[in-house]
Amino acid sequence: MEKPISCNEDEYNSLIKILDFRLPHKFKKIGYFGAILLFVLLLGSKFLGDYTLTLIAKDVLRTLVLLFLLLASLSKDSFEDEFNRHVRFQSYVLAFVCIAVYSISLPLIAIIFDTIITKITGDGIINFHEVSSFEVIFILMGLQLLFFETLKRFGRA
Amino acid sequence: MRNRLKIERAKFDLTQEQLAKKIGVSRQTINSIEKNRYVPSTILALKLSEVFNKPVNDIFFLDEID
Repeated sequence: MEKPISCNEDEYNSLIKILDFRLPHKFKKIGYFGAILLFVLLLGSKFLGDYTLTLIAKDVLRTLVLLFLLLASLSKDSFEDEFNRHVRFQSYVLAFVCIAVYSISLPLIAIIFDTIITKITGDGIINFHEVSSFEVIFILMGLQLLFFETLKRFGRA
Repeated sequence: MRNRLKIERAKFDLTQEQLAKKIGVSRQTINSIEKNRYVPSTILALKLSEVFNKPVNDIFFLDEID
């Protein structure tokens, strides 16, 4: 007789399938290459002046950079095993904690510095540094990839 | 948790790469286990015990801090 599967077990299995979903390894190279290329293009446009890229083009490029980073983040390693999976989950956790600390502390640090500078210069302007969503997601995915590669080689998992 | 993986591997004259191939993991995984940087799953520990023909307890043992 077939063993009855409870609803919870079904849900658990689907969750595991989603968590274990990985793109083929070739997407990692495509992701890294695309993200670096477009990021250099964005940086270049910043240094060359605002005339090279329109605002919409910049937004499209930023979105594409994030998409390429997501490709790299979601793709398999050349050899997938339990150690890799473990290190990957650790890298997501570490990146999440770092970006949370960054997003909370950066505006505070900016206000403190602005207050100090205002007191020195006496111009009376205190700016609030708003952390953009691109900044947050870009650093989050960048850190995840960095932590993953570093932990895989040197870390204690 | 500590282990005698390196000693057992030496007894069987296996390289990290060869042992990794036998149990279907990467060389990096074997290296991390040997350096006590990674505690393997029960499945992997059982696979290692099968390769070395020894009980899991003889390969892996608890440390004072565990």
